[in-house]
Amino acid sequence: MADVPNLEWIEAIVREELDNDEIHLAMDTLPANVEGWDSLAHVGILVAIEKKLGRRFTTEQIDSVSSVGDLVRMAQIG
Amino acid sequence: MSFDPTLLPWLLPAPDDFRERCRALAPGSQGLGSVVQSLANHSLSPAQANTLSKAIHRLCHASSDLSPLAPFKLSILPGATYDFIAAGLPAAAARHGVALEVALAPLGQIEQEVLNPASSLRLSRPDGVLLGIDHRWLGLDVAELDGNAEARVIEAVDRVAQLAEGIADLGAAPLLPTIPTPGDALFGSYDRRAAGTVRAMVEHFNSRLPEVCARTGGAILDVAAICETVGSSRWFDPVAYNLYKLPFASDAVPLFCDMAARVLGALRGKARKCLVLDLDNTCWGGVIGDDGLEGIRIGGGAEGEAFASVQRMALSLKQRGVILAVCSKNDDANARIPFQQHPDMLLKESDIAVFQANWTDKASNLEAIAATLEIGLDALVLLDDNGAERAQVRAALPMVACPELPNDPAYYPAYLLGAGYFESVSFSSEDRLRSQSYAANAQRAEVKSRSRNLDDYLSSLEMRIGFSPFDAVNRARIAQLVNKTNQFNLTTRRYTEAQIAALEGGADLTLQVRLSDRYGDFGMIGLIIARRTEDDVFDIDTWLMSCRVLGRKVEEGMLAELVNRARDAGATRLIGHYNRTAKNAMVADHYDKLGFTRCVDEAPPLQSYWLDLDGYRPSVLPFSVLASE
Repeated sequence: MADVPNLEWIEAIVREELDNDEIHLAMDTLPANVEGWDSLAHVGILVAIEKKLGRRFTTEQIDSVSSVGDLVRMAQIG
Repeated sequence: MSFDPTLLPWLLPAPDDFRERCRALAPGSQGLGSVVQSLANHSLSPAQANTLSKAIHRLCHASSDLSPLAPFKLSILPGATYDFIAAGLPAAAARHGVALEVALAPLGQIEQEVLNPASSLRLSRPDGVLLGIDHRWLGLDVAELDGNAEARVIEAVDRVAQLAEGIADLGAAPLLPTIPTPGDALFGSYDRRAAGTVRAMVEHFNSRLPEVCARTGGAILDVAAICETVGSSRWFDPVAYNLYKLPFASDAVPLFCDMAARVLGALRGKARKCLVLDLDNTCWGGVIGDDGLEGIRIGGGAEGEAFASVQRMALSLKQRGVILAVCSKNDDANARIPFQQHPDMLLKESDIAVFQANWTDKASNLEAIAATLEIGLDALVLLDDNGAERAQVRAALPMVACPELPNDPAYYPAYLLGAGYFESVSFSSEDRLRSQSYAANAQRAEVKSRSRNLDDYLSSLEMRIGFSPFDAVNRARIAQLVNKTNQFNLTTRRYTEAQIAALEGGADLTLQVRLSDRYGDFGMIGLIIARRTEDDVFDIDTWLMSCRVLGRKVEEGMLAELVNRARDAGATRLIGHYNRTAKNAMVADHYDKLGFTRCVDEAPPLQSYWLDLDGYRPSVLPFSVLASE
């Protein structure tokens, strides 16, 4: 996995959380269009990202995520 | 180093192929329950636990035989988002001997589910029902300073009591949580004295819960204690509560699931019954066979205090009915000396039901202990500081619990008690008397040695051995080994550091031996001094080894190296000696085993041997040899 979180880094976490290695993500992918990525899975993914990064996001940051690209940028900036 | 219970550090991390192994679990295959249990017996991330839980669900659905896991149907009535707990619980339950099916009721429908005759809860006929409630659900999250605090708490208690009665009427066991107290204080320290603060109300509520349990046949899940262990500043997560209604921080989910699973295991009679103690560096510091009664650390000093705490813990467990046994690689007589003579030993021989001190592998001894006590192997917990011993026991007897231990013995009690092997849902007078009924007379049990595949085990250790002649850098350590090794020591000759120095670079052959394996570095563990007594003869003046590396074919490796070096020096014969002492009986047949021939006409305590190098063929050894000088 890359040192700086990128699309591939997020994809690996999503695959692990959804237990599905067939998942392919793009920056403009919307969670609703990914099989299994429901609101609950979304929580698991965010928590796993925070754990891997070793820091917490703010309520506002998490609230403003809508696409995979938002996740990547949020993980990069912190 | 510190102790972080949320990581379940007493468990090994999951193997890399964990997900593949979970997916490979096929209904109908043999010994499925044991495979599931050993997969569960790792520290799992939420995603890993979820994967295993799904596999368990799949197997239960296909009516697979998951014995020895005991089936249990649990319903969770959630007052917040308990989905992650529901997803983690079956994996945790398998760790504690239970094949768990979980049903999660809709959020916020607790009363309706219990009281409505047509609810899915009633129709599903659960074995147990867990209330997913906290101070917020009970209305104890805001201070009540107008004199109505008492009434508010009683109302909360009555509400839970009514639910518990309703659950009991269904024929299910209510699992009632205690309520963790948030750290935010209103007054400060005065919160504890002022009636109506959140702290005071929650405490009052918790103090009333045992009587509700007793009345309804329920079991307590002490969530407040889990929160204390984790720390309330970590436990409460306002961000995750506001965003997702998570009842507590997601980091604490694995520990919460494990603690709940222990209670389910205890309800199904799966709690363990016997604590088996290793001795050297587990019950005292040092090695009794080498360091002697005066050399071991117990009682006095910081390290001695740590080992005293281990013994105190064992005695407390015995008092509540856990049987104590000993399993140690030692001479029986040596191993008993501290119990009989050391003034600071808290454990006495009369506390130990079965006392196994010998040089046979621990798995065989654990089998002998279980057979003698007439309990299952799955009732045993082995406390052992040696990672390689733990690995061997886990490989041979996966049903025996072996907690991982940190380097510092001060944490041993936290690891053992933290793992919750002896969870109980009751404490009776029989429990109090149990350890006596197991005639605790430190009896020795007969070991039925089985042929375990030793070679496979040894090669799994990935051992690396290194040889070099004596040198100045290691002189002090060499002198220390020469002067303190008593058990694996053929001649027990002692030399000063100056005498050791005189051997460096001389005509005699010297060997210092180092060993490491995948679990760690043992450092220097063996020495040989072979004197050149004739042009073509080396006489082995000193051969010693640390008992920590017994049973790993190190002595065969040392001989192979000695033979090579003697041949290079033009020798054709080795002479060896065994000089019997009070402590070195374990090497009486050392040279016989290595293929030497006995010299005749000698009187004990001395026995000499010879070996012709021409006829010597080394066996295949389980080490990689590090480059030596």
